Amino acid sequence: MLLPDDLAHNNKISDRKPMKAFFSLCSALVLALYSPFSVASDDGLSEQIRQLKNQALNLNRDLTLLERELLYATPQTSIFVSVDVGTPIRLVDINLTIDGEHVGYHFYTDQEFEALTKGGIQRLYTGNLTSGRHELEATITGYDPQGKDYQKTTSYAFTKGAGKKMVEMQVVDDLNNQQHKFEFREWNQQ
Amino acid sequence: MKQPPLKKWLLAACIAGTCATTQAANVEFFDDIDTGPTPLTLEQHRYLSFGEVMYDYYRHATFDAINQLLVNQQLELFDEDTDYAELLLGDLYVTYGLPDSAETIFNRLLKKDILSHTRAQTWLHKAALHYREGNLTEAAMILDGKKVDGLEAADEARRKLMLANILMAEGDFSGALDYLNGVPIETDEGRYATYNMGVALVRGGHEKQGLALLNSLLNQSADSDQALALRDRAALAAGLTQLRSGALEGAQAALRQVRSDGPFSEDALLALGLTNYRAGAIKRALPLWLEAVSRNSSHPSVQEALMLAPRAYEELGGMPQALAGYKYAATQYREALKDLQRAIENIQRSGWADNLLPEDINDAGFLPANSDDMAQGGELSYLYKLFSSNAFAQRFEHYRQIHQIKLMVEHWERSLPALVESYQIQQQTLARNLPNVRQAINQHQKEQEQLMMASDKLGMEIPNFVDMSSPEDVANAEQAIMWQKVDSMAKQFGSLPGSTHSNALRLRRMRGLLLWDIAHQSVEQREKQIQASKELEEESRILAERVAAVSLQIRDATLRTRDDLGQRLAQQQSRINEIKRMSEATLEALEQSMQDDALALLRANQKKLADQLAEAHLAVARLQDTSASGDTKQRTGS
Repeated sequence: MLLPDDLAHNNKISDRKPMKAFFSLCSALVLALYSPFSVASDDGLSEQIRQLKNQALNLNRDLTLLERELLYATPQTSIFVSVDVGTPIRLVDINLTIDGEHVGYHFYTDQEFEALTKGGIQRLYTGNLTSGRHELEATITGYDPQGKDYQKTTSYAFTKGAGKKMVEMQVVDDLNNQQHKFEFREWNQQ
Repeated sequence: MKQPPLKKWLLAACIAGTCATTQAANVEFFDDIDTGPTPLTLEQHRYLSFGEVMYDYYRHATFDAINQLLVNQQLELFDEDTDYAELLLGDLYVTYGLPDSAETIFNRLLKKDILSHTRAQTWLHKAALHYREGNLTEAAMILDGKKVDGLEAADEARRKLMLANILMAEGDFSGALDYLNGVPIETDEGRYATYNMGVALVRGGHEKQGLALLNSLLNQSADSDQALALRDRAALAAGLTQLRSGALEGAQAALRQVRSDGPFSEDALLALGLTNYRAGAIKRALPLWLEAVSRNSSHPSVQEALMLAPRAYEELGGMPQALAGYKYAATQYREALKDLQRAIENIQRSGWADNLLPEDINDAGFLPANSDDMAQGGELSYLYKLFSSNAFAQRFEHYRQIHQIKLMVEHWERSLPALVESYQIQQQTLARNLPNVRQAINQHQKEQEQLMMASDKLGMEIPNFVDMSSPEDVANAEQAIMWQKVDSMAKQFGSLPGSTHSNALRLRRMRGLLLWDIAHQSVEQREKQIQASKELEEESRILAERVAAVSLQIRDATLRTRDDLGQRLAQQQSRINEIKRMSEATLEALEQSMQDDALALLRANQKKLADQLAEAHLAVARLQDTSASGDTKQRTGS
């Protein structure tokens, strides 16, 4: 049972209620959102995190190099993909075969395609190929600027010699057809 | 967090370097480039490798991008002379939270004689590093000096934005405004800076200027969820500011611009109701608060409205509705307290932080990945304030990065035994096959050399004109067989049976006709012979390359049988174990710290809800008592 004093007190609370709601609303909004920059906390945990990150980067670098040394003891062949910077045509996926054998497929997310259009180069395939002639076949699916999809296939012959072979497959705009076409560049490294 | 786009000149510098080395005097266009194989120069190798780094950079795979740069440094492809790679590595270190490593790079770059563009860019990066670390004085000294002269437009906007934020933090609003005017408001950065500036001015007592900035955001078009949400925030902040100063009409106008289905709609409904209440229009406030009450009751503004709606009924004399409203509020508060308890139990479970992680390992979002699930359970409404705080965001970003490291270490932990086994299999196979292969390749090399000499000789011996003194040399296969027969018959004529005069004439005619046939197609035949000879030379050249490739492989394989790769691989196990142990411990500490913050916030909410529940109960009791005393008075006729 409530005493008269409690009621009186409660009445006061109720009277103030709308303004109390207003102030809690204001403080929540302003304090939560006003944060122009961050101030780093420099406690032991932060130092531990930094050390761990450095060690992880070094380990990953060393293991990547060891893995390459093991897997590609002989000069490897690499196929790279790049696209015209700022192309209005959207590359959706790419399928790669070498000598009729499927060796690579990639579906491009928006972020990955954007990375390519800003000058990024993607390594689509790295492997050990025998020396001699090889035929590469690439099939791309894309959308033209009107959003219509299309598929294009191209083939390219190259000869693998004693050294490393690098082939860059540049997907460039064919503005007459509003589609993509391929251009190839090829390098030998002794 | 969205990464700022890397400056185009960075890539241009790399490409320019490539072109400069290969073609110092000529400008080379794609149409002019020979598509045949060319020797890979250092600059072209750098072009491909840096392109790979850029691909990782722009798809926000910071860890992969740093790894690529470090691997290429180790391979001496990138060194201290490749300024563009150094600068990018520094930038990536900043993003990855390794400021010391970043500063070492920036300092090294600044000591060198580099392009003025690169120098200004490096100073900007260094200032950004200080800014990120909270060393605002150092950052301001760089940003306000001549060191950053000559930046491109996008970088210049970034510089002004940082300066505006620094001055804002120091309370120099007019100085901050000067810099802010140079930042385009159409960009995300410009919009956020304008909002922050507006709020800061209001807080600093410069309400008029603050409102002008907040209102400027309301007139901007917004085409993304983020931009729309910020516009709502600005409208809400403008509305609340004017409500506080009693400018009720202005407050209403601003609050009505908040979208009714946006993330700030509940706050706007509550505030709009308050403006009407302050204006004495309780009847207008009531439907707004009733609308708020119909929303998700875990939202703090809805919880406030739960008490305000019956309060409005009470003031309007609707006691039964007020009583029902307070009772409903009490029910909702009890439910919300149960939800909070569930959320607390959920947070205390191990693996809570793991559930917040995005599916895409490189995705660094504003809110945790499972925010939809949390929103359904009401947990998000309570934790939203926590998630939008910088301290929590930083800790969560660290958690995401360390989790990524743990995944990487687990990958290597699984791969290492396979790599060691591959190495052992390689060694066994090589030991078994190498002697035979060595022997065979010597034989093949001799055969190939003979073939090459023979094909060269043949090529040289084929004249590039037609000589009918040896018809068999220019005849096709069929004609050559026929010519052999006819020629041999002619030579032996007289000793053969039937060597009559008429047969001699017939043989002569036939020989003549055959010679004419041979001569008729001899030019074409010679061309075919020359072509076949060239093909033979080409085949012979490819064979030579194949023999050289196999010889090289034999050399590499021989070296492999003598190297210590297996030992070096095995040594990595202890490093993997150590980093895995450290990452698990760090994740645990980070999770504990995030859990503590979340629990503290939820417990504060719990206390607030308990107070609100008590208030609702008291209001119910008060109304019931008032009603009972009214009835008694009626019965006694007093």
